[in-house]
Amino acid sequence: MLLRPLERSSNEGPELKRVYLVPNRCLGCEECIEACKREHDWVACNYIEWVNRIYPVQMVCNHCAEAPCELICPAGAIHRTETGAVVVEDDKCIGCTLCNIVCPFGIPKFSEEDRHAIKCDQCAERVAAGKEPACVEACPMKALTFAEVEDYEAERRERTARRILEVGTCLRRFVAKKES
Amino acid sequence: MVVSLLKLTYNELVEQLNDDDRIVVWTCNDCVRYCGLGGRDPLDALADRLEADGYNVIHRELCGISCNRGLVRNRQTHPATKPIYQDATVIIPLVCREGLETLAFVFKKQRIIDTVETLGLGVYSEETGMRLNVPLEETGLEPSIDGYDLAELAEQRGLHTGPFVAGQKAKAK
Repeated sequence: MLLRPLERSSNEGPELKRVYLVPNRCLGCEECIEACKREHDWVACNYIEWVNRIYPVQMVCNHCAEAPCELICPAGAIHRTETGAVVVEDDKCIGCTLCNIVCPFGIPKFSEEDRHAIKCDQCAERVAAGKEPACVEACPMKALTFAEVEDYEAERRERTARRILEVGTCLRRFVAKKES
Repeated sequence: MVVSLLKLTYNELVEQLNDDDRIVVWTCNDCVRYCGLGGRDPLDALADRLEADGYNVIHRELCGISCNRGLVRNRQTHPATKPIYQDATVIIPLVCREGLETLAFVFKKQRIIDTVETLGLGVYSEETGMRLNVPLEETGLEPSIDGYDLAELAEQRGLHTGPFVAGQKAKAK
């Protein structure tokens, strides 16, 4: 596959905050989709996929460090913003759907009405104003987190450590009871 | 999950509407989806049918959890939806009793049509669909591990299994 060389090395880019999902918290209530619609003129850029019709998984653009959509766009309509989000410039987009083809998550969608690609812009205006993306703020189960990867990893470690401690404490009590 | 059944048929519902009503069709997307009353498909089916019958549906609202007052109030105050709710005269809710009371609490100026009866708590599975396991006291039913079938309950109590508009695929069997 021929790709355009990136003008900017992704390592030199800004610290990128992403939307992370804690899957076992998600109810599949689609509040994130509705929040996205309200924020973007009633067009949603995220999805809920149901695995085995039981398990909901919220799918949203990951704003990849080496974004295939950005690399392949022949019109240069997809670029990275100052906040690190990968966005489509509507005016430049020619509607070739190559971004739809290369996205490993199937996130960009083609608007038949506007004849251009639509994808998550990570609520650029909200983030610039210091807010979280609409989907994160709306999630009633707090299944979505907007964080830098290091912070997200640290939060996961802390959460898991807390659970290990809880289980360990329970086990110690159980063992002590048995032994006594 | 909360188990609910419909009190009204579609024809009984439209009897409560006026020709000049500006209607919001509202659905919760949690428990009632598993009961087969609500969710995106039943919402669209009901709104399409109302529009086909000449009613003025100005908005279709899907609220993730309609018993969450914060989420409901968010619709009332969000710049994208605030004008819609200021304009609306009636809300048709596909929600449980708790959701209905939340809607009535938040939207004081609109008529909220009472469409559902909540029977208690139940469990959903792919095999059996939603079943009622812990009925409310006023139902006079005993708690049951196997659960009560919703279609049988609806027949006994003069209620209806959803959705409002037949022929739509609902989540519950």
